Amino acid sequence: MATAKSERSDTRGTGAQATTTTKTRLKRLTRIAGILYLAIFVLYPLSTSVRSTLVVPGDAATTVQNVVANETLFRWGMAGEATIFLIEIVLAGVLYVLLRPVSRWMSLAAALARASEGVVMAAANLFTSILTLVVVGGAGYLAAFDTEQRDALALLFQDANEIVILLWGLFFALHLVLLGLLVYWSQFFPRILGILLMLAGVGYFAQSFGTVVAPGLAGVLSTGVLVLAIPGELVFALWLLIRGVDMDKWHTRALEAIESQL
Amino acid sequence: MRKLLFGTFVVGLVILGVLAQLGSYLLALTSTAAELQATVNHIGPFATSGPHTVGVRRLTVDEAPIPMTVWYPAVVQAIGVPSLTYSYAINMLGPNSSITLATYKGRAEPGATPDMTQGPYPLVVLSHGFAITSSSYAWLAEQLASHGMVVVSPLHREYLDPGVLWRSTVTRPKDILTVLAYVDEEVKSGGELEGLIDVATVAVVGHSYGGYAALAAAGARMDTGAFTAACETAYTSNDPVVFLCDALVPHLNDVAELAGLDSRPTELWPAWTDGRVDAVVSLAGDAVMFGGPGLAELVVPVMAIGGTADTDSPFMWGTGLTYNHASSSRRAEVALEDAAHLIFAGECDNVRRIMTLASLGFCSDPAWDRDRAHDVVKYYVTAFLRSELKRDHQAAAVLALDDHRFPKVRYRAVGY
Repeated sequence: MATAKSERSDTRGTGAQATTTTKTRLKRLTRIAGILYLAIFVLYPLSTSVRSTLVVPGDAATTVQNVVANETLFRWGMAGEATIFLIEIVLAGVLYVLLRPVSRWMSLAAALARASEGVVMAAANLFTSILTLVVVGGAGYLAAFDTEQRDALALLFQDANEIVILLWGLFFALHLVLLGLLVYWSQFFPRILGILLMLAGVGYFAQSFGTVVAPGLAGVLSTGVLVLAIPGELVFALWLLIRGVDMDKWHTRALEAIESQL
Repeated sequence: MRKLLFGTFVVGLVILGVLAQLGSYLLALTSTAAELQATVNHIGPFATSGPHTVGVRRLTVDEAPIPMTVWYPAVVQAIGVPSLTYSYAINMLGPNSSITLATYKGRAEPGATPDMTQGPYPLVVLSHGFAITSSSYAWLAEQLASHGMVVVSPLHREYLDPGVLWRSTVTRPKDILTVLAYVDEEVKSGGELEGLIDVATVAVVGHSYGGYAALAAAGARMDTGAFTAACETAYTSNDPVVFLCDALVPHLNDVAELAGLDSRPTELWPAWTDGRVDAVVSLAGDAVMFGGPGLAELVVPVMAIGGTADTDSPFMWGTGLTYNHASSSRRAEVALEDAAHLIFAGECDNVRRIMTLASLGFCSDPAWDRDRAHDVVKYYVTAFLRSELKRDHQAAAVLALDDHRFPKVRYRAVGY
């Protein structure tokens, strides 16, 4: 009898300790997610500003002249983009773990969408910039092209990059909508955060599809996505950093998820 | 303490992020109404494109002594060739570090085959404004090439630092002479420009400090006495030209040294001209450093165009001074009433978004629609150069008219 009582006491003790550890890890995880989110929030506009300053749409000669004269800056822009891709992969994993208790399949889908966005970014954005550098690099075999042709080729890769942004934007939009739904249903985040994230996702969808279907509206759509995306993503990042998740509700949802195996 | 540090870190990151997002948004290029409304030239035959198709080539330092852009009459291009985009840009931080303020459509075909059947063509050397790039004047260069001239615009190696403006006082006229020497060589048998250019028929066109350079290359000479006297007058009346006085007067000894002179001349400086220059066009060109005596050395036909509200190259110290003091038997002055200095720079189909929110003066003018002003400039410059370089009597007749055909334009001329 005494042994049985002692065993129950041990079990309670182990359970309480596990909860404290979980809470600590959860707190750390939410902070990591918040910091990563904020890092992207800072790095992305800085990296794209480098590109939009040096690359002049339609003007191949000026673009090449700018890239050659500011190659170090151009490479720093690439380094910034590369850092973003890597952060995206880690953030996809962290958000997956945080939101897995709400719906394992949906959290996995959201993480895959975000990871895909990172991969498309890396494969395309970085690659087009590398090709641009190769073309302006002056390798001997490029003498097969005259100056105007080389300039045109360099700008072609940068133009392609603009299209690629719409491609990864689709993956990112999907991620944001799923993330928004997960947050909305989670009970351990305020619902308004979920709504804001879904709006951000709608903005990216509108930009990606809208620019393909109606290129004339590209300017309006890029403004729209800024208005829709920044509040949702910024507030979510700050919430993760400052408030984190409601630990008890997260724990409850986690236990429910284990029971339901979903 | 840790919480305070963490809070500061987060707030700093958010502020940095918001500023970066805002900067990225404001620096993006966006279309303006100008792009949507195709420019319609209503004002006369010389404001519209000429009969020639235009080709463009950019020569790098590997191909020419200084980087330059060449616009020329070309053989008819294939139908459906997409239009070219030019940048209206300024070298802000270094001679190779241009910031595009706006972009606009051109119609030249890069690398097109020159049309030799009607050549050789007169040469026009186009000197851009201080720290502004050559392509910012492609709207004018294409116009002149379409009227059967070859336009060569050297890229003067400078950037937007008034502290080094004095260097350009020497290097710009030298650049123009370098272009003429280069063209001289390349029109010979086997050269890049063989048979394309008539090197005996030359005009120089320039905007702002390019206007100064054009006048100098055409025969005007600096005059220390006249310049310093003008600056003293300007200081007492707080005239905007004091900007130029501040940039040059303290460096006159340096200018003389860079020009290879033993000492600073007290009155007229030596000429930095080429005897082959037949005509000169100054667009809001600086002329105060020449003064009356220095401009009196100018004997080739001259056209001076300027905005009367120009505070960078004030009308009375540039355009007006040139017209009043040049010895040229044929000269013309075109005053764009209330126009500012940069009305002569590039077109603005797409501009940085920040320029649509704040009037920075690069693409906006207090009194003029940019396209309309460019049409007026094209009209007069084309007529003047056709008259002087191609002996076009119809163009000369236009210059002789003492009419008021354009609102907000004052025109006067002698010798036509």
